[in-house]
Amino acid sequence: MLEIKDLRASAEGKPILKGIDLAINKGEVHALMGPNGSGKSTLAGVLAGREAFEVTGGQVLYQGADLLELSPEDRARAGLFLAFQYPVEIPGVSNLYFLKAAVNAVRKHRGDDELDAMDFMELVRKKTGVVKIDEALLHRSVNEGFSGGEKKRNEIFQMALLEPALAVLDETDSGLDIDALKIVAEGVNSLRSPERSVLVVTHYQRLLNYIVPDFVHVLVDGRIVRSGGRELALELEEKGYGWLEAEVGATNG
Amino acid sequence: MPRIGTEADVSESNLARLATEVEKSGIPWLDRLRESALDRFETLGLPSTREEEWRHTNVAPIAATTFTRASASGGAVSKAELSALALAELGCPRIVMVNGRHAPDLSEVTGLPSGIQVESLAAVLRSRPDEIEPHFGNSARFEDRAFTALNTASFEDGAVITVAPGAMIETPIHVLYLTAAAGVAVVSHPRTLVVVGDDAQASLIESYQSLGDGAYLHNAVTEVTLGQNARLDHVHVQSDGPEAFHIGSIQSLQARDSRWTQHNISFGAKLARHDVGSVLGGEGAEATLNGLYLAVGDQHVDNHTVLVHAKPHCPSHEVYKGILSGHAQAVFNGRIVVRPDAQKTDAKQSNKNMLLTDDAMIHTRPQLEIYADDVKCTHGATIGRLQEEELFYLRARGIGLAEARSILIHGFVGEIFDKIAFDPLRERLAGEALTIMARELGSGEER
Repeated sequence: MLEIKDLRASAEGKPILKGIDLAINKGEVHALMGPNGSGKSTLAGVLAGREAFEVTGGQVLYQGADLLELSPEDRARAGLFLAFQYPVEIPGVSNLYFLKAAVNAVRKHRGDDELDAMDFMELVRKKTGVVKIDEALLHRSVNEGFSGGEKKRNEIFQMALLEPALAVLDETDSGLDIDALKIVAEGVNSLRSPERSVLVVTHYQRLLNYIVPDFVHVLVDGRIVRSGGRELALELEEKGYGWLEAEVGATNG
Repeated sequence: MPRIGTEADVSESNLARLATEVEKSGIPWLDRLRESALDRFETLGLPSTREEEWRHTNVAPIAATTFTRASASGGAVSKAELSALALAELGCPRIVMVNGRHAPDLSEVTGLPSGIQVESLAAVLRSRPDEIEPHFGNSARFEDRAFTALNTASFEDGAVITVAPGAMIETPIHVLYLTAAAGVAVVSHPRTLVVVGDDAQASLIESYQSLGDGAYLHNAVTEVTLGQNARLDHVHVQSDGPEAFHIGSIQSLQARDSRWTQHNISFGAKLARHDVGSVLGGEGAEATLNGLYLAVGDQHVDNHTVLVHAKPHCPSHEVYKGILSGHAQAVFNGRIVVRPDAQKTDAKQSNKNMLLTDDAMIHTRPQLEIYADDVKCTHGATIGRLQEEELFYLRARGIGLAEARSILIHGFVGEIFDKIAFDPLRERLAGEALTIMARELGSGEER
């Protein structure tokens, strides 16, 4: 599904990712953990095509194609989904209008007929249950005035509508209370399938109690310094990131 | 920049001379009014940028153009030609003026509901001039407005809309001013008079359009008189050609408890200036000014609004929004005057601008003059760009760059269009706005 080879990227001339290698197969759920500033969100941004980051080396293959060659919209149309850490507010654009435009852009790319208003509403009703999103939010401007939890639910709702092949959740748990976290996690779990891969980017182990990953990777200073199973997350929970950072410091020093 | 030429010099302009060619009407009050208007125009001259009200809008290109009276330019227009215009067929009764003169063949005002009259100004002046005398020139004062003086001295025709007291007219009336002249720069002075009686309600659409891309001048004046508890929903659409000059004044006088909702939509024209004003002259009168301007390329659009709160308990709501691209320039000057009597005034004003290029420029200025002490007045202006973060969010959901931009622009202008109640017009205007912006963005940078 996704193969990242020696990926290097910088922001404002400063190297952030310093050689990432990561492979995600179909149906797998990977967690990417790491301390603040380790490059987690940069990696998520590079995968989605955020222009603020400059790729300085390496390669990303997505379903066998060169992902980095694609525009952000073409990545999304090809089934890559980024759940934003900070979902963007767009005043004056109704959530429903935005969602319909997105769904139809992806459908068009796949060669499916675009949905009319009625068919789209039917799809919406089918999917609102996934994250228990309040219908009133659909008629408001995109994310405008939404609470933190509502914004994150709106992200997962979009994921449910767009049915991506690879979802990257960028710190979807940050700022959520436990109830909102559970709802979001249940939403993600209900979308797990043998055809769909997920990369969960998080600072905290907590989310991984609810979205149980197949693999855990730890990112420190732009490199994956350790990979393992679920138990690695628990170890981090217990010991924090300090010991890994110290190890990296020792190697570098 | 090329359009900033020398200062306007009325002596170079042939506009005053053209005014002298207008035939005497034989109506004493009108001929006297025209004569003093012409005197006033000759005294004032075309405004120069040394005048505060015209500081950012240079009308030198108008002074430098030799105009022909539009009515003398011939130019018959067929129904088919008219129908081809995006904003001509709105599915409501319309009165059409071509090159400043009533075109009965293109007008469709039969079967109007009772209580409303839609007539050519020239016809009313021929048959019943005394009926309009009390209202004519009442709100459109020309003492310190050169272009209004010029219009008063020069107009040849226009529209008169009269709504009888108590009449509730649901169907909007469309007054369409069309310039169709090839090869010569023509000038017309459209004049619209709207009188809505006590307790009456009506809906008016005024539009200014052209066939062909040549240079011309629309120097328009619209006067509105609203009786007690009268309501007028008033959409003004300026959709002139790319080489056109449009100078317009839209003035209203409002009696007690009347409500004027004025939508001022401005597309096209090389140079456009709109003076919109109302005197809230009775307790509880309410004015809503809802404006949108789009300017691309090297267009220049200037909106000067003046709301005079003369009596207590009058609310006013004003939102003007603009999108500027290329080297376009816009001016927004929003003046609110609260007279000593006008306690409990509640006036809100905002001006929001989206600049799509580094070279586009907006001059925005609120002007509050408050002489009463128990009032609420708020104002604010914003200037922003298409947000990269918003664009990325849309693109990250599969929406292409062009569509993403169009969605954001649609969102920005939606606030204005949503207030236009007449569906066919709202849809056409929104479509027209998106077409203009898509063309502009398409011709811009490639990504």
